[in-house]
Amino acid sequence: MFIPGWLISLLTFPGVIAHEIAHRFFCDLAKVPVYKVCYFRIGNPAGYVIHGQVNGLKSSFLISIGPLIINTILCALLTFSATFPIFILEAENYSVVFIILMWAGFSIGMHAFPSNDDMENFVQEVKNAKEGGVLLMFAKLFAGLLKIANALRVIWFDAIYAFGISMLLPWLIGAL
Amino acid sequence: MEEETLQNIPILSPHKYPAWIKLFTGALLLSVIYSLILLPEYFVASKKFKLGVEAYSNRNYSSSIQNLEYAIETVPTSKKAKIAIAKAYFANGNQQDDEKGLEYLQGVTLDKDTWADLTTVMPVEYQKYFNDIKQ
Repeated sequence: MFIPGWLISLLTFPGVIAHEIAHRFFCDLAKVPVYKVCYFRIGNPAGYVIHGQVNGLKSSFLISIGPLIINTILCALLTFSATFPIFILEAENYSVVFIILMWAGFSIGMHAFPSNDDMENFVQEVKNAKEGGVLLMFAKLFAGLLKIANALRVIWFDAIYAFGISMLLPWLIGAL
Repeated sequence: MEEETLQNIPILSPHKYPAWIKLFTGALLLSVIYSLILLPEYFVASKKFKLGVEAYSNRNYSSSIQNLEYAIETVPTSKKAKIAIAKAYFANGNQQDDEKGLEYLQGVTLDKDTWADLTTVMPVEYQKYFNDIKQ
């Protein structure tokens, strides 16, 4: 089933906003100047952060990967309690609170992946820093994996990722 | 955007976010806290469900029923728990409990595999109460 990207972004807008907040937050933490932020809009991209030159690999890594970390943690925590009645115990009716928690969590989890541009910026930073060898290889591998993940969004890989993350904490504490 | 172009744009003040973003973040954090407040109750129910299923596998039906009843008290519409407790009631050898098992299955839609599994323990005379639904 083909659903336009703008419609998916609209239905999962908390994820777009959380993604851009994470970018902005890590820019501020890394003292990188931010020129413009669009937290949400109907269009492509659905949100963006325009920032200045990043100094240092650590900052570049945090700014690029920030949304992956923040959105993944938020997805896991928001869906944590709702996973039990909905997926594990398969309740036939459940509170609207669980529906809201699951929607918010899934929306945020679906927008966890950094964009291809984010990852290309990171790889470029690694190249600029002349940090060859293992670090460059790791950066390229990571960027490659995320590009594959972004490409697989056409088969709902972002939703599959969100589902996997929502089941992660119940699995880790032995409830599955 | 190129560096030269960026020079003409004012830099946003660090850590200064629009009011609606602060509200959004606050709502998210409250939702996370609420999710964590709800967690223990549903985590225990899931654990009890798991224990109930394990007890059933070990043919410890009274323990199975006890654990599954706990899960159903917390999540009364849990399909999995209802099916599991019905099986435990049917399998425990006490015919007086069979009706309790049947009560738990009222209104529950069963897939073919679950039905096949259930009929291994469900008394034959109860099986006529179930209709085949074409999908």
